[in-house]
Amino acid sequence: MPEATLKPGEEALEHSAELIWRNVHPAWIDDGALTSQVFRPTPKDHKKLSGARQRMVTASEHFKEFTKDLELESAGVWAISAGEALDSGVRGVYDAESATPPDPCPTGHTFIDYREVSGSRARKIGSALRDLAEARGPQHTAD
Amino acid sequence: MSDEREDAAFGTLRLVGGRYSSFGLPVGAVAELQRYEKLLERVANRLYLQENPRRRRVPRGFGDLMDLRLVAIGEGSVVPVLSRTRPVTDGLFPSVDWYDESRRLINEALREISDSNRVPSRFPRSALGDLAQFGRSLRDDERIELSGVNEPVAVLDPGTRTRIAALAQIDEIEIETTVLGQITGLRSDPQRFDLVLIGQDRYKLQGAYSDPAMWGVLRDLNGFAYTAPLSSLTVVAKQNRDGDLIAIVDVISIEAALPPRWAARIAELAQLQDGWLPPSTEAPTRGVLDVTEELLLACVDDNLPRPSIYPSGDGGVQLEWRAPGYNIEVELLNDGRVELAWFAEMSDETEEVEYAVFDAEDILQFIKRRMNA
Repeated sequence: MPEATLKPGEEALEHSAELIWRNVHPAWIDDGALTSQVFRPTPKDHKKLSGARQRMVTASEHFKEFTKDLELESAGVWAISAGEALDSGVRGVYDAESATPPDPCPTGHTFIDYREVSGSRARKIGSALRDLAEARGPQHTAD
Repeated sequence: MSDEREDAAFGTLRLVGGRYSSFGLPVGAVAELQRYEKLLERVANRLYLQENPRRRRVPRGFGDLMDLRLVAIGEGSVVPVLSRTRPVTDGLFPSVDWYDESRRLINEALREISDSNRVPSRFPRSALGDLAQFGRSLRDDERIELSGVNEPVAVLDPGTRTRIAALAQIDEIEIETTVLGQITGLRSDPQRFDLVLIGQDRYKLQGAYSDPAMWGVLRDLNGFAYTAPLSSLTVVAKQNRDGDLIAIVDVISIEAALPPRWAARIAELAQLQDGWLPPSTEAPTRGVLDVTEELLLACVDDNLPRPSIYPSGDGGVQLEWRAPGYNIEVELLNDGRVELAWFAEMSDETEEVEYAVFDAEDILQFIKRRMNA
């Protein structure tokens, strides 16, 4: 599968058990079930779904940064592994130390790269990653 | 008059279609028989006075000639068998059976209105309002058939009622109907409420309720603007000649349209504001929430399981059904588009459909087809 070119300083996560964190908005949980949209980019994401890598930040630190520093809503942190991303047809890309990091740039910022994925496949991949994250369970929850 | 009384069958009245396809007289139809009795009396009174122009009122005891009774339910559709218990007269009203004349004239009027869109000249104009009220509870698939021994059948259905209203130049007729909407205002004195009807136009009706006990139920379903739960009301309503509802006269019954867990989730989504998912994700619009409720109602009617209900990151609502082996997603977007997707978990099989406009039936067929595959 062709891959989008990485910018200087961006690092594609290898196939491993390292987790990629995702904060989940409370509205995206219904009766305890996550929507597949948690792991599918919206138009504002420009096909780069924001998260953070386990090696640089813990789930609770990521949650705290998201809710306190960035003042965004989160019900908690769920996760997929870098290997699960690759097996599903996407990849994690660490870009916090790249030449052009995102703004804002939470610690360990890593995006799930959907740039080479068509719209219909994105839905299916999002659903599959959601199932994996649910099976793993929340890695940190709001008090 | 003598004290003796005699029973006699009083014409034939059949209730056909819809609710009357099953045996037994629905309790709500008793009101229809009451309206028929009132109409008979009104027309009989006017006929008597037409024939006796020097009289200003009907004679005392005139109403005793009526005494219409429901004595049985006959077979074939629903046939309430009406019998008239009338006193044996000693000559005070010697030769004319005014009530039977009334019955025949009502039937004649219905036949002529259906055939020629005309009211017989003998039919009292002052009774046209009562004629227009008869059949108020009829649904679109129901009708009343009236006849007598060796008499042709006269039919009253919702179409006939509309014609009667036009001929009588009645701008409004009363109907019994079920409406879906949100109660956004409620008062106890006078007993009134505001109802916003579901649908594209979302127009507001003023309503009244006569039973004070209805207050508690209305209050439970009352809400602020579009956060009020969707309610299903059976009402008596005024309808204009174009068929539009213009007011609710009384509430017969009311209940939440959606099951509580379904309605509660919609209420949660209705609280979201633009920017709920930073930086700029639109909250579901009221229009999208309305069509979502309409689709969910269709799912309830078809006994489908409750989907998971979420706001869409693209602005709108996403419904998800997850089952072993497959997922179904329905995305209802603020711009009116609908995206449907089914995909198998263990293979690359998928089906995606996009509609430019919302149609609950199309969406429901997709969901059911994929659930049953």
